[in-house]
Amino acid sequence: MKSSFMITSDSIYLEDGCKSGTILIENGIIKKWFNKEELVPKNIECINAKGKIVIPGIIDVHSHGYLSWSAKTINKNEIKGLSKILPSIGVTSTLATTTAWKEEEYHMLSSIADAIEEGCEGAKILGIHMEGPFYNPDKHNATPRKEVIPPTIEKAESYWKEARGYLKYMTIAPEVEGAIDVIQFLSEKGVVIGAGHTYATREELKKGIEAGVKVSIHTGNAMRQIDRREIGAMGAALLDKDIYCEIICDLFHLSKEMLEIMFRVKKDLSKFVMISDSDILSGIDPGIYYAFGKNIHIHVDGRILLDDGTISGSSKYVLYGIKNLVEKLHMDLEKVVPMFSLNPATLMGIQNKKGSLKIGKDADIVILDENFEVQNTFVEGKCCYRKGDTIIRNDNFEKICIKVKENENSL
Amino acid sequence: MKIRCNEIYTENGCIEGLLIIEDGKIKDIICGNIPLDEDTLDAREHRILPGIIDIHTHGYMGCNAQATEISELVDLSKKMAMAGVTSFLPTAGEHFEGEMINLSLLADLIENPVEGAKMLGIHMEGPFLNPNKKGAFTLQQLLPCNIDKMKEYIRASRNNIKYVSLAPEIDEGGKLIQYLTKEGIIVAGGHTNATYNEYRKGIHYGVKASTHTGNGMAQIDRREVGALGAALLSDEIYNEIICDLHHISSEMLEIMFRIKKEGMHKMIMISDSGQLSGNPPGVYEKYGQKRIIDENGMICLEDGTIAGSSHNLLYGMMNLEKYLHKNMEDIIMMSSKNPAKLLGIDDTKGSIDVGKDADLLIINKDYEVEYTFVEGNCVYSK
Repeated sequence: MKSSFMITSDSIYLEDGCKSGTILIENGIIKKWFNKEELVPKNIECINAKGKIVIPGIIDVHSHGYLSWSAKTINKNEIKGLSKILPSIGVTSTLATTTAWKEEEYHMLSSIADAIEEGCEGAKILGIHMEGPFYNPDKHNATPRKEVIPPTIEKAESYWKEARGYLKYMTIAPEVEGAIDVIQFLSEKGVVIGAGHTYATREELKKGIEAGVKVSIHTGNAMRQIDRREIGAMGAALLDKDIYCEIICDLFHLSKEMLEIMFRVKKDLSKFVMISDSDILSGIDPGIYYAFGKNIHIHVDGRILLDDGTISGSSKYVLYGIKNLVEKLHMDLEKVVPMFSLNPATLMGIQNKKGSLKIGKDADIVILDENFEVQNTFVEGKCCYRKGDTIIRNDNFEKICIKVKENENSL
Repeated sequence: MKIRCNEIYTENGCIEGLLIIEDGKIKDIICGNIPLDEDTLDAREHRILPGIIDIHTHGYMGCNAQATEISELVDLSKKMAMAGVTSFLPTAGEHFEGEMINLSLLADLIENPVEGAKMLGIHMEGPFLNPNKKGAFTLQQLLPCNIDKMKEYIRASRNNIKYVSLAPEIDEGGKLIQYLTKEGIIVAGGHTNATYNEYRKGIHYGVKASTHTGNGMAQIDRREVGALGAALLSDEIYNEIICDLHHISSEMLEIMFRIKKEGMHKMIMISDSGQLSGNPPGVYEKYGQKRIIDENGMICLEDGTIAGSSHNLLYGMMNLEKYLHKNMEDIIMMSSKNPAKLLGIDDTKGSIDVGKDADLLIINKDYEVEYTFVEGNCVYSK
């Protein structure tokens, strides 16, 4: 695809700050930057985004799905479908994030690998994030306990093989017997290891970090809380200067005060990675649904809960979190931008190609209006979503999720 | 008198030089390698720090701040001086039969100071605390918030109560907090089950400090950061902290310093020591309850509830320097300057500066107290 075009705006969030000017995109790459005062070429199509916000595309390393599409599937076309709709919420790269699924786990991994190899038309599927099955059985949260299995190298190796090199990220509870060996084994293969669904103490997390843990999974959720005498995995992850911290900014998973506390304890915002933890039911109308063997309640305020009130992922998406940080926590967008782009890119080791608006990098770009609504999303220079485009739903959705009850208001 | 030392921690940093003391005040600070003469105290091997101001101590080495015998309270001042404390708030607050007598005896010593550490006023930790966060208090020692009762206490103390720790969420409409604030008494929030919003409300009504922050309150939860989160996120209030590393782990202290926007500028070290503190490990009895001092210096009830620290505040200063690698300049801010600021006496106390009271602590390399000076008088020497 040979194409050149430009985007001009008074607020373009480049890697080195928010500027006014024009970016030139050529063959899917950011080719040139023109400051406001500079003359731009006349013969190239230019998108006028004046008054709009131009940001790097969102890299969501922890998304199980969205709006009827699930990454937990044995149908490669559903992965392709998910890729297609993610640009509508500003996502240009993602990790197809699975959860434990004993019966079909290998089939699931190979199907995602198939989809990646055949190519997806929307957001780039960077690889697979396996969240589970190596949880701490006491912190399995929304995953049924019977799905939790003890970590062994044999099992890890078979996952690795089945995923054909696309296993990029794995969530493990480091304190569980056998976990340290698995962390070492997978780290050596280049898999990013996250500590999560864990009851680890500070010491136990430290051992995990020595073995290769690089990131803390939805920090603050599904882990021991900070106690004055045992700060636990959460406190340790926040105090550690090298560990990245995934955070869900829907303000349900973590209160706004807690986010503030986490930013202050960590000190360094370059180690935060915003995630959606969204799923097949995110973005779906409120109600009670039956899926994956359990009732799932989508509350009108956006919470997704199990019968007993356990949070089961977020109905929101990263862009919603961005809006929260800017509007409710009063953070500068300039400070927020790396948390959904450059930081996850650096964690994944793809910061040379992705993660910021910089000459030479992929043209993964989102144009937002002042209400943080997506106007256009470009993945490697290709327009994958334009405001008003129809967002295709998954035909199989009703087979996976049966609506039990309309509009759930009280819980 | 004159004291020569190579490490004097003054208001303007650590210097080598000479302190000249006259009429209980620091008359001059002369920098440099000043030669000794015969009436100069040679402290060149030691460090001179501003005297410790301990705003939360229930007693020390056998002396109870809630004693009803004047001799025990007289003794307490001496014992505190042995631990490097130059002024303190004897901490009462347990509701008991002799409470009014105790307050009036404390008032006697505040009005007519005896030799030793100076009693600046009374801290009442209780009785208006949340029974669900009573710590080592017994239920009989606690009362619901009651302004009339508070007035009685104030009367008995002849207006010498300077500081009251209470649970803000049990003070409906903030009436007691507002009353105390109007009376010029500092209110601290502690032994509390307050949520974030309830604690914020307390701050709005006048709470100025948090009592042994992190202890006697809910821990920070991801969705309800509680009193602890509120106390640390608030820029306005000071936070008492116990630095024995048992009440709060060293990592938690670091977390607390980071959450607080002004960090150590708003932290106040306290001992929370009691009658049993300073004693060797063993089993003791207080109010018919067994109290155990373990090898780490923790004082616990039989069920493991912490009942204060057996360590003194200087021990916490050592911890901060040795294990948390804090600068002495920051440490003395938390042991002297900040409590003086909170009490509104930083014009005369809280740091070593020309014109201020000569409240000095001289320690050796092993953190042992060599001398304690209160307003120029040597009240303890090793």
